Amino acid sequence: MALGSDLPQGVTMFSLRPQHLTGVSSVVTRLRTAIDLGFFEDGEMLPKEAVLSKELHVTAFTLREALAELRLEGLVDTKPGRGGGTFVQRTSRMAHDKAEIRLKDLSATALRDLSDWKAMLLGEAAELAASRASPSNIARLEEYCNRVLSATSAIAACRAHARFDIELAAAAQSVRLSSAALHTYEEYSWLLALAHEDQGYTEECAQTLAAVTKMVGQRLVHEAGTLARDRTRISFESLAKKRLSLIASRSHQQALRGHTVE
Amino acid sequence: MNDFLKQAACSAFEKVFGELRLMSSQFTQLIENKSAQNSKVAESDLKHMRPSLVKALMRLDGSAFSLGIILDENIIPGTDYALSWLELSADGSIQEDSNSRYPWRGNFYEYTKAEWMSLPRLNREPVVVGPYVDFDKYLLTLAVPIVVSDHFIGVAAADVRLDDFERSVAYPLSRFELPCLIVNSEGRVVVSNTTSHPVGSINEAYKTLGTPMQLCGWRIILIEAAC
Repeated sequence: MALGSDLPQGVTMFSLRPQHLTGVSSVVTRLRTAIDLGFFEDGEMLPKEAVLSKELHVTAFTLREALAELRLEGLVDTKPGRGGGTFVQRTSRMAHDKAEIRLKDLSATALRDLSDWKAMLLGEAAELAASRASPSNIARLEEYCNRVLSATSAIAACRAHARFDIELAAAAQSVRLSSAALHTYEEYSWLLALAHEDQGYTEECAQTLAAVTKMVGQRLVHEAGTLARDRTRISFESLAKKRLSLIASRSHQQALRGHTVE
Repeated sequence: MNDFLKQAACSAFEKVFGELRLMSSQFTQLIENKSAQNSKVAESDLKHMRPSLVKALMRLDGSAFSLGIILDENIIPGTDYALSWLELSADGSIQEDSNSRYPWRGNFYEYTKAEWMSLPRLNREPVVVGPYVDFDKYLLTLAVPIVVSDHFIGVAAADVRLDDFERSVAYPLSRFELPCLIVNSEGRVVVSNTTSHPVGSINEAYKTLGTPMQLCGWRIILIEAAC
């Protein structure tokens, strides 16, 4: 609550960290999050630059720099001329490749640390939600859970999953947990989207979310927390494997290249 | 003492509801005049409301930190919702949050499914929704239905920070020796004078304990020492 009342704008998800809101990287992060969380659809045109820079409270110059960076990431594409503008392209191969490179470069410690942090967040949120969720909270949790199950793409699954996590923190009545859950996605949505490319991972997550929702509904405080905590850690197994195989295939390729040179 | 607390809570809300009813009737009037000329609701109508919204927010003087008019799904054909929304910044300036086309603004939840829209749509009655977590804020949302020729078209609504509401009942609440709570219709604690029944906690039993406040199913509960 202290966080909310300190805000100069007090407006939206974009106002969460007003002290950092002036730089290019913050605009990149905020726009990326908006895209990853489903506020912009794939193929949707972003608002005009003048409007967007006003909305984000940054200069036109900063916005243009940020859009250029997002273009490099392959998250948006700009078409010139009439009917032109900046369009979201979330499913592009470029975004996927970039995510793989980032995962490869992530240290094992950083990945483990992230899994610990997410496990703690979701575990706490689940425990508190089990004692504080109202029927309407639970109905929303069920809805986001079903959206993960019925998602037709990795990005749709990732969005629904993100919404579930934030709703779980909201059901826990915790402003801090809900902000923390959102920040985690701001930082790691690229990674979680990559994980959701594996249908098996998405199905496993959907099962976990359904089980957590059920326990929250039954007010099984301890069980909901333990399940959320344990299963979150387990869900990182596939990312850890993927990371290692990315590193292995890179060093294997280098080794092969070494042979041909000889 | 109960009455004192109830009065403080109700008068805090009545001030906001008064402005919302005024906004609702002004907008209804605007739309009725238009339909007399056979024209439909448009986004420009929301724009026309802005000066009235600014005045309402100023008059509330911090009792609500944001307010506006939100139209229901398809009232403007092809839109999920449309809104004219103003917010009071910490520095006292009024920020516009006007456009429906930027869905990352405002609430994370789908507008048309939010209870402050669905309940007035269903019951045609004003509501107080919350307290609930909206990203980085803990809020109560007050909403008044806008009904034009027997059709529900949306709500006039305001967000009140729970901290601000608590301030307006702090004095009567602090005078209770026993643990005292105000709970909402879900049995969720809205304000309390004890950490053993903290804000946001929920208890089925609260839905029937204590005295009703005649305010959206809210109740005042005094916890006897035996409990």
